[in-house]
Formats: sequence, C-alpha cells, structure tokens
Amino acid sequence: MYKVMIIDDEKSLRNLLKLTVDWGRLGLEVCGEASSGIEAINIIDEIKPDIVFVDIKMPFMDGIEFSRIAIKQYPRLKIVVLTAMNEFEYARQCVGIGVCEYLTKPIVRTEVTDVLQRIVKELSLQSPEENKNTASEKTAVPYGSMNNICSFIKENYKNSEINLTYVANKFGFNPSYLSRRFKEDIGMSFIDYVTKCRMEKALDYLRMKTAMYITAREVGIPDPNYFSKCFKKYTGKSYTEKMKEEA
Amino acid sequence: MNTRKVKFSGLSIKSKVQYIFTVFVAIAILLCFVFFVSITRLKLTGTYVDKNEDKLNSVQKSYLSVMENVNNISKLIMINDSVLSYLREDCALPNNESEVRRISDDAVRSELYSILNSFSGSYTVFILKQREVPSNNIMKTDSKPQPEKNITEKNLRTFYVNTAIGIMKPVGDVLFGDEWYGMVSKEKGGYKVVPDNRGAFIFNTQMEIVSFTRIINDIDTQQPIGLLVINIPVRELEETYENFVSDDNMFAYVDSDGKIICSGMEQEQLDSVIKENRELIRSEEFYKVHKNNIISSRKISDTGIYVICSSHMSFLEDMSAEMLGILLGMLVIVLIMVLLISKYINKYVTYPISRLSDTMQISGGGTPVRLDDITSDDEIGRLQECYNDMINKINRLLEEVVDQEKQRQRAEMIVVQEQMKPHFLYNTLDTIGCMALQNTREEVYDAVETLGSFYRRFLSKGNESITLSDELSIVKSYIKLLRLRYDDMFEDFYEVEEELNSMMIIKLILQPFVENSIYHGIRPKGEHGIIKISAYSENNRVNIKIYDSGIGMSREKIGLLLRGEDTKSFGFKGTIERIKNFYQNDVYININSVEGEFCEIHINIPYQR
Repeated sequence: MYKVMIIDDEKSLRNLLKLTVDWGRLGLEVCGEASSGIEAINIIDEIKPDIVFVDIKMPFMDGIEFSRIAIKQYPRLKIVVLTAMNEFEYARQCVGIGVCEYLTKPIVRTEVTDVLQRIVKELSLQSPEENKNTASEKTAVPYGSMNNICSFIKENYKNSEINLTYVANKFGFNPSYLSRRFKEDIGMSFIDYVTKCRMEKALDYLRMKTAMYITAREVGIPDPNYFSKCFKKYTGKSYTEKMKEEA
Repeated sequence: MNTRKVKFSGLSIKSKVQYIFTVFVAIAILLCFVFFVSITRLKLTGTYVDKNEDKLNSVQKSYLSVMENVNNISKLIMINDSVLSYLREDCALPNNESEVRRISDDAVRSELYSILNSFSGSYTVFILKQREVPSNNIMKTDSKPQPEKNITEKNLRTFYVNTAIGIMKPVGDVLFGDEWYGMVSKEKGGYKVVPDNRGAFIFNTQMEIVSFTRIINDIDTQQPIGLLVINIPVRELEETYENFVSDDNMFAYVDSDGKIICSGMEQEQLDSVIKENRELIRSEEFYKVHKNNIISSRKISDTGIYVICSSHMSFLEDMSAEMLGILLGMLVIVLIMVLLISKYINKYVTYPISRLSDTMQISGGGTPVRLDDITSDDEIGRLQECYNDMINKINRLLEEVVDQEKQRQRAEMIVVQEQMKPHFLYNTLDTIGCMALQNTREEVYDAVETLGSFYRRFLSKGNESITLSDELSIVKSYIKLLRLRYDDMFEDFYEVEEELNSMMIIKLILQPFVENSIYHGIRPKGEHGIIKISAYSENNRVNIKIYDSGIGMSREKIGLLLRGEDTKSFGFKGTIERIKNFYQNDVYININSVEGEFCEIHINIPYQR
C-alpha cells in the first residue's frame, strides 16, 4: 500500500479525486489532504506520502513552490501536478523541479489511473530499504542538541518551510529518528511543538488586536485558513471569538 | 471656344507645353521676320532713294548741259548780224528797194549752219518773223511761205528761215498764237522749253522733238523782232540717261501736265503711276514706293520738266540667299530646341509628375509606396520629398493605428483570458462533477444551469456592451459558482438603482473587479467576507462601486494600480484600459481602501441611456 496525499485549495476537487479513483484496486490509499501548500508542508512529515497530487494555482504557496520544498525533503516523492493551467511555462518549471507527471483539469479518470499505475510500477521497482526513508542511525543525540532544536524553532517559527525534515536535515538527523527522539525528549510531536510556538506568538498578536491574516503571516502560517484551523485546535476557539473574549 | 478650352486643359502637360511653345516660337519667328523685313525695306528704300537722287542729279546735269548747249546756240544766233538783219528787213516791201541790203535766206541759213556746226547735236533751228502784207502780194521765197486762210484775212504772214529743210514745217499761226507766243513772251527774253510741239510743226517723217524757243529782241531797240525755235530731237534727251538705264533702272521725262516726253518705261504703266501719284509732277522732289519700285521724280530747273527715275528694289533677291538660309537655319535651330525642350520637359517635369501621380494612384488602393527615382533637386524633387514625407507620416500613422488596434485587441484578449480563463470552466466542471457524485440532482442541475447562464451572458454574442442587469447577472452567476468551490466563504449584496438596470455598459466591467476582490481581498484574509456592488446615477453620470471586506490595499499599491505601473496585475490594468477606451477616457476610477478592512473600487462613467 502506497500512501497518497492530495493538495488542492478546492475541497470539491479533493473529494472528486478521492471518489472517482479506485485507489484500493491500484494498491493505493489516500492518507491525507491539504488545502494549501503551507498546510501540506506542516503535515507531510506525519503522513509520509509516496505520491502527492498538487494543484499549481493556490494562494500563499503555489504548487511549484511546494514541489520544490517537498522534493528537497523527500527526493523519492512522486509528485503529480494536477492543474487547470495548461501552460508551457508551468510544465517546464515542473520538469525542472523533478515533478513526475503533469495532468490537466478537468479530471479524466483513465488518465489519472494510467499515471497512477505507472507510478506504482516505478515504486515497486525501488527496493523497500531505499523506499523507506529510514536510516537505522542510532547516533546518540546529545540533550543539548534537542535544546538547540527547540530554540531554533522558537527563533525561526516565522519560516513557513519549517517542518521535521527541514530541521532534521539542518541538524543532520534522520527525520524519523528525530521525530521519535523529539517526542521522547520534549513530550509532544515535533509539529505540535512548532504549532504551539506559533500559536503562543499568535496569542501575543491577538492581544495587540492584529488582524488574523497578518498574525498568520507573522507566525509562519501565511495561509489564514490553515492558521485558523490550528488556532482553533490549540485554543479551542476561533481567532475572532478569542479576540472578542480578550476584549 | 469652350470645347477647345476643355480639349486643351485635357491635354497632358507635355503636349500643353509643346503646343504653347510651338505657337509662341512661331509667333516670335514671324514677328522677327516681319520686323527684319520692314526694317530692311526701310533701309533699302533709303538707299535706293539716295541712289535715285544721285542718278537724278546726273541726269539733271546732262539735261542742263544739253539745254545750256542749246541756249548757247540760241545766244549766238540772236546776236548774229545776218539773222538780225533778216529779221529787221521788212518783208512787206520785198524786192522794191536795194537788193544789196536785202539779205537772202540762204545767207542766213549758212550762218545758222556754221553756228550749229560748232556744236554737237542735231538740232533744227527756225527763225521766224511775222509781217503784214497786202493780201494780193504773195511773197515768193525759197522758204515756202505757208499761206493760211486766217493769216490772209488778217494780212499777216509768217516768214522764216530754217535748217534741215524738208523735214518739218512750222505752222505760223500756232507759233505766233497767244498760247505759244504769249507763253514765250512771259519769259521776258528767257527761253522756254516746250515739250510737245502743240501742232506748231508738221513733220514729214515720224519724229519727236522738244522745242526750245525764245523771242529774239533787236539789240538796239530791245524790241521783239522775231521768234527763235530750236527743235531738239527727243533722242538727244534720251541720251542724257542712257548710261543709267538697266533692267532695274528706268527713266522718263514728263512735263507738268503729266505728259510723257520720253521714257524707257512702259507707257501705260508710267501713265497709271503718274495718275495715281500726282505729287510726282507737283513737288520739286518726290519719291514713292510703288510695288517693288522706288519711283523718284525731280523738277528739272524751272522749265516745268520732270525727270522720273524708277529703280527696282530687288528685295527678295537680295534677301533670298542669305536671309532664307538664316531663316531656315533659325527654324531648324528652333525646331531642335523645341524637341530638346520637350525632351527636357518630358524627362524633368512630365515623367516625374506622371510617376508621382501613378504612384499616388497605386497608393490609393493599397499601402502608400515611397518614390525614389526622381533625383533632381528642383520643385519636382521637393514634391517627391514632400510626397515621401507625407507617405512616411501616413505609413507611420497607419502603423500607429494598427499598433493601437493590436494593443487594444491584446488588452481585450488579456482580459478575456485572464478573467474568463478556461481554467475557471475546468475547475467549475470538476466541482460540478464532484457535486454529481455527492450532492442531490437538483443541486447539480442548479450548478449546471448557473454555469450555462454565466457563459451565455459572458459571451453575449460578441457584443461589446450589455445592460447593467445582464452584467450583474454575470457577476451573480460567477459568485454563485465560486461559492460552490470555496465553501460559502463570502456573501454578496447588491444596491442598484432600478432605472440603471436597463442602461448599456461595457461588458465585463464588474466581473474582473469581483474576481480581484475574492482572490486578492477576501481569500487571503481567511475570514468570512462580503462583496457589495452598488450603482447610482448622479449628474448624468453613473457611479459603480465594488466593495469587499478583504485585506485591502496599501496606498503604494493603489498608486501603482491607478497609474498602471503594477506589472503583476494584468487583469486589473487591462480592464481599466478597456473601460477607458470604450468611454474615450471619459472615465474616473478611484480606489478607496483601508488595509485589513476593506477595499472599494469606484468607477464613474457617463450615463448612456
């Protein structure tokens, strides 16, 4: 079973993909979806997809920007661009980045199925060891370096590219190892920690009566929709409600 | 006349110039010729008159010398004793006194002969006297007195002695008549030349004479005692001009009555000339140009005799050789010049002009063409330059117009593509597809209906303008479709004056701004937003406002947008250009915004009912 992630700012498109393709028959499973590139960067470490469907035209971070970051972090990731823009310039950029396929909307099921079959074949040819982004590195991480990581996060929460893989690469860890160690040492998942840092900062901004979209940008989640989701998850209230409460 | 004018103005410039030139040259040559001829004639006349003068002088001199000769003879005769004694002798008493005293006629005659012999010229001398005689007494002399009835009645008889006996006979009554004798006695001793004999002499043979006559006075008493007549043969006078006579020069002697004494000319012709020009025998000196002849006359001394000289002006003959040569030469030169000039005109005027006009005619149909084959630096060259400048300007203007049109079309295309990008349709189709799998059939149908209505109005048969209510329908459909895609992220409100609904406005004036509001205003804010469209009329203009509660814009961004300097917002810029073009710049667009709060686009256009 290979994991599939769908990134599109339109919920209906995500649903359509999920509904029209017989994933199980292809040996695939849709494990996650994101409504923006920002959200995808934040959750990709948890989902660890093998295949990603991504739209190009999305606010805050477009599909091409996302693909660049994602391929840097996961070189074996199969990215399928699915867009209504049938423009040569986009296709050229996508090939340059290392995007696997370029499909156009409206969706044609056979096309999608054919592409997926080919990708599955490619994935199956790769050795499982290679395929797994694991490296049984048991390198001991000094406690201090975990502190360093925490302070790095606190300092760089504004950077919307920050996620597990980003930091792991930065500090020379295997991402899954870091994930495990981080949970053991800090007591919460890496992404939760990053989000916590950001939300605490967001509360500061909220107290300064900053508009949500600005706060979102300031704390490194420039997608206000995803920010609002995170905020609600963290505080249990929406940004506006919280703002009223504070007042 | 008019048709000729039209005909002439219809000719080509070349023909006109040739025509005019030929006519003028012909006139000029003709005038030159006439001037030349008349001046030459005048000069020639002068010369001939002078020549005639000279000849007349000579002839006059000869004539005078002849007369002088005769005069001298007469003088010698008048003082001759024999003659005088013959005249003094009373014939009434012949033979009755002494024979001795009587001088015989023969003696007198021999005296006369001896006098005549010392002079050249064949003159005939008559010495006449008149005496009263008894009617019965008839004088018997050698001199053969001619008794006449009248004379016998008066008892007057004429006696005479003469030379050249037998050739002519005097008529005494005529000679001593009032006419002849009275005329001579008026001279008071001087002589008189009588050109015609007036019946005074009877000739045995055909001959013409001029009579020289004077009265002989007694030396002692100074009383007239006789009449002397010396007949000069006309031949003698003819000799005076003989030397000058030629084919071209004729002479004649004429008396004051116009009677021709002698002439080398044709009698009738001279007569008619004299009849026509009485002045010839009235003035002392006169000349007249008659046909090609110069006729000069002069009164010779005071004797009433005129000498006439006619010289033929060989004008054409003089002229012909050189003059005709020169004239022909001139004509040839002029013809060559006409040819050269017409060639020159053709090369430098007509041809370039026809080239220009041809090029212009070609230009009339298609793109104006430059003309470069006229190299002269004159008016035609400048005309070409001007024409080329004009063509350049026209071409430039045409290019500009084409460019502008292209730009306008591009702007329109950009608007259509940017705003109505097909991906909107594709995305919407996917959305509807999803709905078909998830939602009720009614909802799917509703969505398809909305999409259909949207595109029908959006395309609107290619019309550039539609009613405001149609435009609002487009916006409403558009928003409805977007709301399907983006989970009711916003609401839309409309405040439009009822009467404006039927107003025609440029198509897609609202949709691009609404799209802008959603994608760049409301969505980035991440909150539920509103869009409000209002339209109202004011001072015959219409205000349209598109309000959104999005993130708004900074002043800098607004400035860039309004100045059209924001290179990223193709759609916005294109839409504004399109609106401005449509309303010929009679449009005011303003953006009012508070960052993080709202953005309102204000469009002010003329009210077109």
